[in-house]
Amino acid sequence: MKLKNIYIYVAILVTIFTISACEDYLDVSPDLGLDDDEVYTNYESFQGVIAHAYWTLHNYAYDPQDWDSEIGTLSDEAQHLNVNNKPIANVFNQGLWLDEGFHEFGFDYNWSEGNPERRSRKQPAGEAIVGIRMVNLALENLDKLENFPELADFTPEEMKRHLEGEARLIRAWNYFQVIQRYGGIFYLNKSFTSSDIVDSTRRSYQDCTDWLVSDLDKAADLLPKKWPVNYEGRATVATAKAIKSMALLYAASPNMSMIDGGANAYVQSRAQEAAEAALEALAAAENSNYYRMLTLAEYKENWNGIASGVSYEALWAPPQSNANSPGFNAGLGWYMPHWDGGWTVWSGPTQNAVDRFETANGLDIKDDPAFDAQDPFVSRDPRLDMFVYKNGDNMYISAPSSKPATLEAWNGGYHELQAKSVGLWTGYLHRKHRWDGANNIDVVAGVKRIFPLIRYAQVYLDFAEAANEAVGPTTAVSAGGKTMTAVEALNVVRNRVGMPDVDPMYTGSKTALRERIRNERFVELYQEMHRWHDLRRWRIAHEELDEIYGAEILKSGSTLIYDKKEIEGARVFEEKHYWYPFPSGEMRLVENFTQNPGW
Amino acid sequence: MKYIQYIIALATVLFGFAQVQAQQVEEVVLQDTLGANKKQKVHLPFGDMDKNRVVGATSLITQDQITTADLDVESAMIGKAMGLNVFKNSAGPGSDNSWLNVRGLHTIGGDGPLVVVDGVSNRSLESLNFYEIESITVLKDITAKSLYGPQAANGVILVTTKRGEVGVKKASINAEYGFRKPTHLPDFLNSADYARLYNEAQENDGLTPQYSDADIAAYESAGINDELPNVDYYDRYLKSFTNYQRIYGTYSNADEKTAFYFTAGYAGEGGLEAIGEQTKYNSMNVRGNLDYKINDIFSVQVDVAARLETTSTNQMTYSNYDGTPNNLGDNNTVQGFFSTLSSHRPNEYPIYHNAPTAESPGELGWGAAKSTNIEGELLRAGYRDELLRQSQSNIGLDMDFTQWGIEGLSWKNYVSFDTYNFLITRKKDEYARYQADGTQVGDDVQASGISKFDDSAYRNIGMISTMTYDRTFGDHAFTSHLNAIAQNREYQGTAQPYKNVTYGYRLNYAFANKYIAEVDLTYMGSNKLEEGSRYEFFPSVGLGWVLSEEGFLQSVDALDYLKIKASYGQMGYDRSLQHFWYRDAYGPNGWVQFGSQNSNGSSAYNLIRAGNPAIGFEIATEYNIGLEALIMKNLSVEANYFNEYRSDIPMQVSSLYPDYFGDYIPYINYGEVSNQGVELGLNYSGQAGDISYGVGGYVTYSEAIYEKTGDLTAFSHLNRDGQPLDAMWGYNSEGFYTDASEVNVQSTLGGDVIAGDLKYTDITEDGLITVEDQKVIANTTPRYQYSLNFNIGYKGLGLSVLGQGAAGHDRMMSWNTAYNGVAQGKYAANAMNRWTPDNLDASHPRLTTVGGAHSYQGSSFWLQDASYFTIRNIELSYAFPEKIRNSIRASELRVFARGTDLFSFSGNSDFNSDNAASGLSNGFLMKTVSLGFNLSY
Repeated sequence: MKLKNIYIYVAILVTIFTISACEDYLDVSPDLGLDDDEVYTNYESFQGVIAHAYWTLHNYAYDPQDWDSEIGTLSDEAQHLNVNNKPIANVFNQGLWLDEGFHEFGFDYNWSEGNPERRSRKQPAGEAIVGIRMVNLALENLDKLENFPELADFTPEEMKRHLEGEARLIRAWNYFQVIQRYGGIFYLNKSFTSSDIVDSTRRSYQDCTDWLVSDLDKAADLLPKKWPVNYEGRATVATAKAIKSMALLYAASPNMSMIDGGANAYVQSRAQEAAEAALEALAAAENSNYYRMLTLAEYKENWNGIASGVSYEALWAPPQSNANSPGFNAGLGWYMPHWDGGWTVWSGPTQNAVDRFETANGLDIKDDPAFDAQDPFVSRDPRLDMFVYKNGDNMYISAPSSKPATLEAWNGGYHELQAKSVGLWTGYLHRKHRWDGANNIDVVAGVKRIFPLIRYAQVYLDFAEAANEAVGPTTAVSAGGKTMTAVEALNVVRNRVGMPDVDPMYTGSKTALRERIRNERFVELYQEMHRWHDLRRWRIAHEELDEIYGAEILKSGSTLIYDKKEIEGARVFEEKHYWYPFPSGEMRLVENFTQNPGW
Repeated sequence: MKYIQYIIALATVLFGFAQVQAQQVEEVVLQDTLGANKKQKVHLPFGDMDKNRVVGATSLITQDQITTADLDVESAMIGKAMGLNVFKNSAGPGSDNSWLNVRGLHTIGGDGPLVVVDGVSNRSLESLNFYEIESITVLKDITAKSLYGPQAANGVILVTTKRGEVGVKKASINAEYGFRKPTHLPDFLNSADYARLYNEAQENDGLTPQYSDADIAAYESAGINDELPNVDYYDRYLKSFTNYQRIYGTYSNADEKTAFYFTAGYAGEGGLEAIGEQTKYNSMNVRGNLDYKINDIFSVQVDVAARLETTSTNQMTYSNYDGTPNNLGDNNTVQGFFSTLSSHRPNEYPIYHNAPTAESPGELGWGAAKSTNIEGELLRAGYRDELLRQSQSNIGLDMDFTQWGIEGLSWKNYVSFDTYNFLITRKKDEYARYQADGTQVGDDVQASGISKFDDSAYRNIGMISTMTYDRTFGDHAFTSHLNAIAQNREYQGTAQPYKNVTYGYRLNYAFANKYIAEVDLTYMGSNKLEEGSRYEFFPSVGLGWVLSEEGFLQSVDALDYLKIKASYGQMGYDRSLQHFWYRDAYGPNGWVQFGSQNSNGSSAYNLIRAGNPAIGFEIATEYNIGLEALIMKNLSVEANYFNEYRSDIPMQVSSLYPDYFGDYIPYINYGEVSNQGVELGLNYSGQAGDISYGVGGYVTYSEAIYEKTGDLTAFSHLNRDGQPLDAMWGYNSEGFYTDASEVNVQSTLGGDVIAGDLKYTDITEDGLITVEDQKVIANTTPRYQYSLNFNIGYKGLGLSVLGQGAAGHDRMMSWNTAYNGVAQGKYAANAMNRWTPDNLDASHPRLTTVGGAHSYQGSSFWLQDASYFTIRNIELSYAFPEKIRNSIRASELRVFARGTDLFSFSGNSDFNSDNAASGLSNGFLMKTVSLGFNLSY
């Protein structure tokens, strides 16, 4: 009996031992994701991290889901028409920015896991911060990189330098995106984790600009002048210098001067630096053997790529991504009325915008005696026809059967009625980003939508503004082997589209030319997300946004009477709106951090 | 931490050894004077316990209580177990949808209980039919739940299937035939009324009305095929009732060595489509349980079950709220039917542009706003078949060591293997529609063949080993279980299996059947945690005191039994965790293309997860105090008070990290939730001559509150801390603005605010109505659940009635399309009662064309009290007397008539009490009437 018992006890114990060996039972299969060490030792995955930083560059017109973008409707370029859908007109145009996270405002970075292309909930500042973090992680782990593939175009040395150059440039650009909206903050020079204690006292705008310019200078040494064909679209030396020129110009502007405690005027020393940097950028673009200004015939390819997704005139643009073959209306919902296949979140150019386009004589419409207000669209700047559909313009390649082919913008006209049944009407339709045939009649699809962040033409405009402020309209500035005056730079941009040189009546003084430079910038960079930032940095927003007009065209018999009508309560802009507010949640978490004035 | 189990094993073994060495003690047979309470056994994890010795809280549903006219088991459990709450959501052929919880809400993630069938975890109730079930035990308190491991913290539903009983030889056949119809149908407006109201909406918004008087006059007399049509979708496309049938047979036979139980059944049900093919559902299942005693020591158990379900239905495109097709929802075609009925407006499109004739099939109509035509979807869009196959099997070996001299020691081992496979195939055709002017949209294209649409499968493997020592020495009774379970559930297509290993030990000691103490120790592990810290140890204890055995209560005649009990302990919970949260991960996210032809792509790598190496289990700390009594031999009482505290809930707490960290938010063990409540159950049964009767019921109260969420907002009324877990946030409405001059705030919610819009309290006092002016206005799940049942029998007749109710919750009607009319949706009859200057006391704000407008957000205006009391089951039966039965030699012949969900009492009887949106995007909840018989030999 006893013995048998012992055997049994032993058997029991042995079984218990074996069950406990099942510690390994809980092992997991290898994770699908890579961890830190694997990502940074291999070139492909390292490049993937940099690619993600590229991917955080916000493309305002690309994403098929990004149809509720806000280009142009914050400024006086366009008016959001379906005012009850999406909070542009009700919230952002009314100045209610605090803690509102929608597109332009806020630091959110929410992407839905199932569909990484769905970027419509991300905000530029939020994307920029994430991009900075990715780039900081990459720069901190740069030394781990050891496995390079065999590439015909580059040596491993070059590959590593290019990665560092791209990283620094993207960090500088993203940092610039944050400070141009929110003002100076502290340096974002490492990837922060919860164990970091950072002194978050805000630095001056100039200080922050100097830091990002130092990154750009280093990047210019590391990047190539031009990439091989398969890499086109990546950042180059010219890109770094163009961003530097733009950042310095912003630092010179009156609004940035004021937030550091200065006067409401340009900072002269900065303007000089900006002018020189712009010339160096132009020199680098010429030396690249790649970038060039497009001709008038090719002009619209700046935004609509039939053959290619990169444009020779874009010194810096967000890369194309892998969306499915884009339809005729993907990414264009913002500009396309619902009767043409758009979503009902569209906008229309304002009368304020149309009035900016000069006459073919090169004079402002207020200054040209030949301008007839009752026949306003004849003999105007060629860009007007390319950017705006006006009353009487043909909008289709093949005539539709169910609606008129030309725009009927008068009161009672087909399109005016259609628009009025769901919202407002300004009398104009957007054309610049829509290629010919982008509508539900012609259904021309497969066109790549390019949204340049810095164009070649813009560098000339940057130079003209900086040089005019620094030394005046006709005094030359030299740098990088080039010499140019403000007026000459302006003329390059004008002549390209067939407009005559700047009329002498505007070149006499700095203030007179300043108006022309600003007008040219409005027209050339219309709806490219510049005007809104320009209005703030020039401190003229509260004047320019005071009255927003749409066209009012009356038809009696067969004659049209052109007039304009104010859109009541379209914009609210106060002193505090010159800088964006930080989210109030942020203010509680970060020590020594002051909110922008007025919020 | 392997040492703990060695020590425990050694202790049990030595204890047994010592007892054997001590003396051969005769078991003392106790005088059992108290009847049922003592002898009854309660199913606890890994063994049964005498009810007298249970220190925890459990509820029991017996086999004769689990009858229902519905086809699913969840409906069979409503109102039958105190502490088990069942919520019906939708119903349909083969897809009755309900969700459950035990004792209310527990945590921030899901609250679903663990379902254990015959000792195997992670089986589902959908794999069972009620007639296969012998009993269902709901394990509610910590000593009862913890031995099942880290998935059991929300409660356990322990199902035991029927097995053969010695001496019982029985064959039976049962059949039932029933009718079901939707409990409520929504009331929508016709085209003329809709056009009038939509014109008013446009005028309110300053837009030009689009329907002319001539249009409206045409709508008044329009038919379904007119160019200005008027289609009553529910009238034309929905049948008024559907039917189902069920037939099953059982056979059981047992002697001393073998016990065998076999059951097979078939059920079928049809859908509600009146045009086109009706949805058809069929299911067949078999189950066989075999117990075989090899010799005095070894016995074997083999259980095998298999189930096959097929559903064939139309290939309907799912419609979004605005009626536009949502191809992402393509796998929900049954929903597609109901969502189309509730979103296509009466004047959306004429059904036929040219009506069908003998020669031609007709041309379907087309409307610009929705691109589909419901008649085309039902008749010409193809079909879809779903096939579900499940199997469950256990094989076990039971060893009783009594013969080897160790009395009371037994050891049971078994393994289980389950499979589940769900396949959807379809043939999706396209069909042409025609505009008013004859232009064709789309084409009649037959799909080239049947294609596989979706395929999902999983496998569930378990191993269970339990060593039991159950011995009584005089006044001392010991029961101990030592067990180990390993669970592995693998899904097709996902990389990680869900694995748990739990070692548990229970020791229950009773002295003189009066004083009871229990200790439960668990050592549980999950593969979601980092290697090296996968296991954690959790203890719990319980005490019981049978007061009725004490001298001072023996004299109280009325009190037959009184016991008080208490338990306290902790366990871990891992369902809220996911694999690999402890380490960083980079993954491809996004894609950028370079090169002039954009041909050179580069996959973008993002930091998709910031790791937290310290991540661990969510921890449940609970105590329960209870009382059981039997008064005057017929009235039994059970009451419990429970208090649960869930801590270390894994969350991403963005308020701890500033924005400039750049999307760095790891998962940390942070959140805390508390849940408390009381339960009281009473049962009275008796006999008066030939009449037997019983009355019973229970009422439970529970409330769960957020204790710590990390919310940090500018205004304290927006933080969740201190608010109930099921809080509903909304605006506080103070009534309508009667004049535009009264409007003194600006609203950012959507649209303008004019007379007829709602006035919300500006809690933030900033002159704006923004989302920050929301506060907690109600809660969505009931605080009180109660049930009342009554049964009476006289000779062969029997009547039983079960009612179940819930109270203490509200429902929000602002997003219920059957209650409102807004923007471009379908307008309900209630929209006629909208605010106008002549109708100030309206149940609906002024009309507007703006979707999501100010007055249509969730607010206290749209709240309705959702309390209800529903007569869940009524059953009238007659068991034929021996005389009649003997003519066919049957041991039992019984016919019955049953009704489910026939009557419901609530504040607003126009809507279903369980789900006010029933039938709007899912199948209607139904009331059922059936007839059937049971015949046994």
